[in-house]
Amino acid sequence: MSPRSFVLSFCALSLITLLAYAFSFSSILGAPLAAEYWLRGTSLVKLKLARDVESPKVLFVGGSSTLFSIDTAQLSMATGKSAINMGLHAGLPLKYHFDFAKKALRHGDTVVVVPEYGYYRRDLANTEWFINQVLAWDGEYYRNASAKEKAKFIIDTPGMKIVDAVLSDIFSKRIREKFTYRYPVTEDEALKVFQAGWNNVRAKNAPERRVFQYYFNNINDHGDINNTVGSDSPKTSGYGLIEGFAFNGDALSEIANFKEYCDSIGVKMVMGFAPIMNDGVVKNNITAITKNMDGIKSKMTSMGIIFIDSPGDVFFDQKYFFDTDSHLNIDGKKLRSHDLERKI
Amino acid sequence: MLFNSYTFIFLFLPICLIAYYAVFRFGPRAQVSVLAIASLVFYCGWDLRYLPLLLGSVLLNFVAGRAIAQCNKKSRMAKLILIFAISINLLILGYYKYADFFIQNINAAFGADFNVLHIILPLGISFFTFTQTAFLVDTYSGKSDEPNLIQYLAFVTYFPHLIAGPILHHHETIPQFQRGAAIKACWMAPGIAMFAIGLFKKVVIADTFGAIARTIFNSYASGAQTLTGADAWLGALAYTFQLYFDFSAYCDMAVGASLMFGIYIPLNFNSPYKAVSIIDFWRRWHMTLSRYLRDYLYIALGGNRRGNYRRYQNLIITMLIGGLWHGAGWTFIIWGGLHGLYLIINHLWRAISGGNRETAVGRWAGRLLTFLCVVVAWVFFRSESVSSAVSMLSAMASAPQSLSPAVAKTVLEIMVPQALIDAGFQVSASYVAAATILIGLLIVWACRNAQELVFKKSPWDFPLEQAPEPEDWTARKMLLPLSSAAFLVGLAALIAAPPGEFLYFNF
Repeated sequence: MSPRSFVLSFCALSLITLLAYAFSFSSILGAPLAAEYWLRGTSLVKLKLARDVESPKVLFVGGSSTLFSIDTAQLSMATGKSAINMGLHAGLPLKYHFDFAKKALRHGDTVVVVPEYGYYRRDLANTEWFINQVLAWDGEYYRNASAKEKAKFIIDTPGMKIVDAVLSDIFSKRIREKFTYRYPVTEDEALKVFQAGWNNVRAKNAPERRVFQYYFNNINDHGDINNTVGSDSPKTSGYGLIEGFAFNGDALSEIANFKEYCDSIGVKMVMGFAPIMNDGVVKNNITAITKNMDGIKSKMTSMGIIFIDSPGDVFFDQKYFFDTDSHLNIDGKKLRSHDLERKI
Repeated sequence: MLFNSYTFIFLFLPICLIAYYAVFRFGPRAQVSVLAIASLVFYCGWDLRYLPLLLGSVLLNFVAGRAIAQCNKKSRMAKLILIFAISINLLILGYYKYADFFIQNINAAFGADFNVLHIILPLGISFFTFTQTAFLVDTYSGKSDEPNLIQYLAFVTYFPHLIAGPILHHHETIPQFQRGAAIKACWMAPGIAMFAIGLFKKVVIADTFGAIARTIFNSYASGAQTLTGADAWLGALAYTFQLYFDFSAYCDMAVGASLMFGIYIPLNFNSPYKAVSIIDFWRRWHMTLSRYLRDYLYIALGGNRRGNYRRYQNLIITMLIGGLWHGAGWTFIIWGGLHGLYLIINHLWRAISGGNRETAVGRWAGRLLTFLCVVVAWVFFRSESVSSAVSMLSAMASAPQSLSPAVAKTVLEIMVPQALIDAGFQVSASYVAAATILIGLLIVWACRNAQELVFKKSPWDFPLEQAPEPEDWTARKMLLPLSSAAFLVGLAALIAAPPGEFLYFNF
């Protein structure tokens, strides 16, 4: 082979292989990888609940901090406004939460965005954790993405993850015999599980911790996770608020875009703080943390967003946290929700 | 900016190539200017803070070289300038690289309490210092090519070699800058192929071995007591392969990138684990450092001209300095000393065995023994401290045991896709580890190296300044799918983790 043919063939072969790879990428979606399958059912149930509620309603949007820390059932009763907890998982990108909320938002609604603190600093890169979730149970996310987002997703997907997904696909029968839950549930299946799980305890939390699980049979009909009784005495991490706090431009753009969307359809968007455990490093660095939280509030306010919380509203003792320093337990969320009642 | 980064591959390199060949019609001076600017941009991509140091060093040595060249050959004045300039170079290197080591040892030896300076090592300082001192010595000996400032700047900072070698020799490089290069497929094709092979070696092979080695060496550094002899062997062998594939990958990528500019840089690697003796090993491993140490240190010390005793003394001194060059630490000095000792034993053995003809069995025995000696020395080279190296070597000398649970878990996590575990396949970590090491051995002992794969006749058989264009392109059909696959798999593997630094960047 002449050097000239080599150079041309190398470029052509590389390009063809890359294109073939990109076009065949969707074939590995739905592989039974180890992932958080409960999020799939949880999101389907929440979306159904939110769509079924008549507007004007209040939607709470955020990661698992929102899922655990707001009692929308209590809020609904106290305020007379239907509220739904749309909180999912902080590993999902901010845009994912916004797109999720958009599916249920209607004119006259209010959306309360309560991002975990890491979201303000996060760029648009698809994390390995998120890629894993999409490959395992959210093929729709990839299929509905724009060409640019798809290209970015493919570029961000590690080679080893592809190998894992392909092998999981090949051995899917064996894997699903062992892990029966590793498949993307349909809405009907999710609702069936949800309803069966809550026939007897729909309106109140069970008094015992043992019934808690990360599953969509463990959410009430407002989307709150339930049975978060007691505390594992988790340690606080500092939430990335101890050192200097630098916003990520991409995160700010996402928030601004969502605000613009809400304005365009007549939805009121407000923001709040996620709960903070007043213990350990937080206690020792309270001044720096409060200063950074003030910075977040000022920044959001400067973007024309109403910020409903002050830093002092979201500091809670360790005993109010369930299994992590972002998840309030049943007592903690009662306190938090009581505070929110007068703000909504 | 790393060779194994998207920025380098898809932005920096293509822009440099376009600019380099676009100015071809303006002559070699314009092309070399492009190389110099590109190299400075490349260096700034690492750390802007040390750009003044690099430029100051280049300017100092260029002026000193000019001044030496103006004097009569080997005159007293020329010698004074040479000593002054080399002293400055060594002082700068000593300050940045060895000051903290010196202070720590003074503190330890005399119970003093001098503050450690925590100096950050400027990237490539060892390489550009050696490159320039060789230039000064050759200028003093009347062997300089008398480059102009731009040529000299490009020679020292030429980005394919700047950070981790090879150590360029002005006599090989500057004449190539002076002749310029038009874009030709006969340069681009082997350049692309070598770069692709290097990328694969780095991100797929070296980084995989590195992940295993890191876990085990870190455990020793933390004083873990639960590691077995098998863990220690696995760690030592994994590092042996990591360093080999990492450094040879860097060299392949450097040579490949340079070929795309129509410039040969010297080979630094020639299948060193195929060496049948330690002497042979040093002719194949970091060849340009060996050449430098031989020409500018060993021979300057007297070489073998004053009998065997002085020869062995010079060998030990040269290798100790070679060890110290790699890093300011006792582990590096011991590594150098061990290799010095190996070389002495090898020379003694040669003297005793005379000119016996080598048999295939003898060659393999030599290869195995050399490999083992090299592995043992690498344990010091990689360890955080002498004590952790000694405890690792003690474990290696202990009775055979299986892998400890922690290391077995790491091996499975790194080497076996989770899907296979989930599917219920029973995978033995010991077998996986053994297979991984066997694959490493198979590649280093039985496979052709990159330059053998790419070239039918090696251009490096010629003096580089006179080497013909690489027309003797390989006719192997497998090279196209091999290098394309290597490139694509390398790119895909790059996604898994941010591009890892090459090990030799630390030296």
